[in-house]
Amino acid sequence: MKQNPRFLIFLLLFAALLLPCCSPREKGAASDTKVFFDTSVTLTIYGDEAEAALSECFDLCRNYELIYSADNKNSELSKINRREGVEVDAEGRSVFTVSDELAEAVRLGLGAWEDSAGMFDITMRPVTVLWDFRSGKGSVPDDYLLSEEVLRVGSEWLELSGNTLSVNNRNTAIDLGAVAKGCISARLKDYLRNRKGIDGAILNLGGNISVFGTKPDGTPWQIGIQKPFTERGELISTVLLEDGCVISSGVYERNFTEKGIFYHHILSPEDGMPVHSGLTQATVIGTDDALADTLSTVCMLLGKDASEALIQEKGYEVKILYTLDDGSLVLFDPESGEESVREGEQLDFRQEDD
Amino acid sequence: MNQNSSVSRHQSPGAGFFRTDTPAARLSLLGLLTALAVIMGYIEYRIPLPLPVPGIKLGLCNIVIVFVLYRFGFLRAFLVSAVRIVIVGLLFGSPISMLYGLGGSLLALLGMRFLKNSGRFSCIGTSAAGGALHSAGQIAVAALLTSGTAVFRYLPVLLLAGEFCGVLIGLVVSIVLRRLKSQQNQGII
Amino acid sequence: MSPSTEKKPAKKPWFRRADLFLLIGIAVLSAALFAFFFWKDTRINSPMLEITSGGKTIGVYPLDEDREIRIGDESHYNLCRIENGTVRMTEADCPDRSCVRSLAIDRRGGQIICLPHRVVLRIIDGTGGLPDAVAE
Repeated sequence: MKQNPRFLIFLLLFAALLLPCCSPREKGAASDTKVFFDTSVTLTIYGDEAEAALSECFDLCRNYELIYSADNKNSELSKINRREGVEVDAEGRSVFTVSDELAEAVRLGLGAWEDSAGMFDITMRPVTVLWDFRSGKGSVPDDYLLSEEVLRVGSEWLELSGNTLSVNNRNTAIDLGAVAKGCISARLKDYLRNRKGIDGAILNLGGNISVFGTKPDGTPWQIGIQKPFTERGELISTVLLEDGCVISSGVYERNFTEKGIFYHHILSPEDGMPVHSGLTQATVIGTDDALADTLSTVCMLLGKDASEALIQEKGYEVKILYTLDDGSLVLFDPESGEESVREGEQLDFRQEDD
Repeated sequence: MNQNSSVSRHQSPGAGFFRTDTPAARLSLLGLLTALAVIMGYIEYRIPLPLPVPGIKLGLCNIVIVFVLYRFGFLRAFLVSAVRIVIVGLLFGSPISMLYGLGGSLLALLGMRFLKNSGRFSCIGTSAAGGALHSAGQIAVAALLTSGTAVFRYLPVLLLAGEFCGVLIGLVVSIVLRRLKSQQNQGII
Repeated sequence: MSPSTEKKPAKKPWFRRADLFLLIGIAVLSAALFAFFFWKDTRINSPMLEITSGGKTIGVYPLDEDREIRIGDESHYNLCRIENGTVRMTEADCPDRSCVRSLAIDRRGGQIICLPHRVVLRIIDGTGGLPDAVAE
């Protein structure tokens, strides 16, 4: 009899303790950082349902990693690279049935390959694995080995039709590193846009920034662009944006120096060596995340003039901020052409009709 | 109820489940308590906190830690806490979360030991201070790791929340300690 | 060992006066910190003076506090002063001294530039602070 009141107290206390009492919940906002795709992913979401949406987005990231990652052994992509699950089609060719997400990424990769006359290539994996840019003290791969592996590169061996992918060379290995983040942020943004209770979000996928909607204080998103070869926090420019993405690609991201020579991670499919295009960095500002991601690498591979011509020709709705090797900054807008930019300048890309 | 209090009944220092007379018994009991703390760590892991202070957690495990502090002393409490942090960090967390846990835990335990030994504070008060210090410690680690002062903005709320949690935890531990005492006195355990 | 002399933990009361002080103390500290940050925020949103040298921001100062700021070293220096909400370049050892002769700027905006030393004094509004994210 004497037990009952105390038991009740225990129950109540236990229930109260289960409440996340040791932390506040910021009303209408949620943010967290996790590691996916071998990079750090920070999502900041605003809206009444921000918390729920945040965990949903990370769940989506987990799923996407199992599709796009070439390093994760259980992913759809690495199974294809190991030729698991291959089927034979009506004409006797070996094909794979791929998911919509993977198909989209491959399609973009092949599109960029055509655009760049073969410089952008998603089959560079045999070559990229020879270089080690992550540990900070990489080494230049052996000449002979490099020339051998370069022969395995070639998107011409890939054919995509709907969800059917055929890989016509048994040595081909696909790496979607230059495309995946853009595809993923585009999908996350779509998901959030259509989800109720979400006012806006800023997504940071390994340095690729994507925004939409509004911040609680109503000010536009301010996105800084990292200045190459400096500590975090030094910027070449700040971009004001309401809906779109800012994706930057540069030689400063992963590199090492051996015997006084600087090697970076943007490799040419012709010889497997770092490309020298006169650019230190290329930043794409646009509304199509996936396109912007591939374009940032394409610009670095082609150089300023060739990529400007390409964008003009294709009518891509993007703006590019080029950081040249001499340190100068050039802003390219397909409609108005080139414009010189001062370091530290704020660029307003809001689509407002004033 | 008080039938045996005046008789020279041998009061074993916790016979049966909670015996603490031999080092072996103490060790196994502490081991069990550590395991309990790890389980609470798992519960904490399942309840995500949407704060841009990575690694920050609820203070559920502190129920065990405060209990060990009062029953077994500071050193053992710290040991249990450290082992718990490492295991939870290896199982569900990240190396970073271990740093946060150790920082918060160390600061909290030092403060609690000081308060407890002064004799002027009850279990509830000590635990409340411990909760607040736990949060403060985590913020301090966050500030060091992110080399930024922005994290300090969370101090006001976290201090209060830690204090609140600490009060609840202190209440639970008080009840448990008293219950243990009374059952010991009755020779039940 | 008889029960009554055996060492046992002293019986503790649930709650003591010292506890109350402690709890109130923490709450007060928390409120004080909150107030501090609140005050800090209101200051940030008002116009500030931003000083850049060679393109890098070397200082951001509020306009409501009078102060004198020295920029540079012995060979290249500029001295600016915030007084009554206006900013002037009071001294400089640059060849042309146009910055010293410039009009004062205030909260409405504007800038004073010392070209030879690449020093820029600029009025920025509160939101011109840290970006929300950095693309890298």
